[in-house]
Amino acid sequence: MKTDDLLDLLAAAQSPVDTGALDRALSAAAIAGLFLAALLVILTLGMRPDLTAALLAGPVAAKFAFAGSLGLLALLLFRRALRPGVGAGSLPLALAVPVAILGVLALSQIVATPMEMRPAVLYGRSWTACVIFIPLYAVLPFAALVAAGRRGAPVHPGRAGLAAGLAAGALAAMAYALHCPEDTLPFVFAWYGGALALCTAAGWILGGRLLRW
Amino acid sequence: MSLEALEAQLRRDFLAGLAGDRAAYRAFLAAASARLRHYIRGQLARTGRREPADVEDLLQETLLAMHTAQGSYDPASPVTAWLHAIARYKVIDHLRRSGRTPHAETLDDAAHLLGVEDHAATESALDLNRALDRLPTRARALIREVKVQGASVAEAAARAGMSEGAAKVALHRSMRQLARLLGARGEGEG
Repeated sequence: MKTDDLLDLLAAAQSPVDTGALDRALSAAAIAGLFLAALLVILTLGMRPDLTAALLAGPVAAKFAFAGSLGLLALLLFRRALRPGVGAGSLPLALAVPVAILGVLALSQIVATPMEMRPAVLYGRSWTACVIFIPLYAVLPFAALVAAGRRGAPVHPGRAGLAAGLAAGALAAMAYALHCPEDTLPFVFAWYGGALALCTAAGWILGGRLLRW
Repeated sequence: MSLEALEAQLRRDFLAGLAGDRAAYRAFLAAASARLRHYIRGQLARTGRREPADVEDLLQETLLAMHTAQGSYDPASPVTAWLHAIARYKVIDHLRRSGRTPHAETLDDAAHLLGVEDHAATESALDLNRALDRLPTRARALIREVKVQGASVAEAAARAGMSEGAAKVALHRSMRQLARLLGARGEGEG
């Protein structure tokens, strides 16, 4: 076929295109993913009984602030990665801000803790559960985000997957925080941070395959 | 033509095309393919391939990819940036599949600014024809009417005994399927 003929064919097949549909699908996927992960946490692990009171104390609110800000930034990054020719802008730099803030706060709390108490503050009672459960609960949000993302055209599928992995991990971390009984900043930084790093790496590897087009 | 003038022209035609204006979309495709042909020819030449048919193959694959990815265009960003990112992705993908080092220049250097219209009449070697063969008979007949015989969608629909709406949907689906078939080459599908 001659290229000119293909152009006629493509023009004949053209119908109005909604460039906003991708953003709407992405928002819907994020909200559905968060809702499903939260529902799953409540059904399988149960909410911590003192959640409302604990939210007023710093560390529990810090979980939501940390995961929430990273999740929002990662979603914006994913959205940009799905549109060819649109760069990441300053979003990667912005991602470093919540990490740095929580890192400094966690470190200062560790330093202020007597040496013999430090392992308890860092590991709590459930660090393995945190690292295992957050990535598991991230599977559904990740699937929802990737399904929506396949409507886009990521020219760097690995990078797009990385952003989707981090976003899904952050949504799952917010859901897991409904249950998580730990109340120290070093715990949140090390294990929420570790779980999100795992999700990000998995997203990078899977995204390179699932988001190719 | 400067990059600014090209951007203004492409943007005007593409935005009208996105709203459903076929003539404007056709004009956008013509301007875009002239520019992309020049870029693709340069990239293939770097790997020692100078056959016009190879260039047309990859150009057609890129145009189909672009067509199916229209919803990914952000109207707040430059059309040329969108176009170039897709072309570069397709070139890298193509070189990777054909076992070469996946490295492509960006399209922004001055040498590629002017797409010179030539080889437009060159037949693509095989790829698109082969992909066409794998479409359902009805879709293929529709494409032949619209394409080879230059019929309008309404005429082709009437001859195929379908409504114009159904023919448009069938054409739209066929373009997506063609893009998929071409993109799947070398991944065990073709």
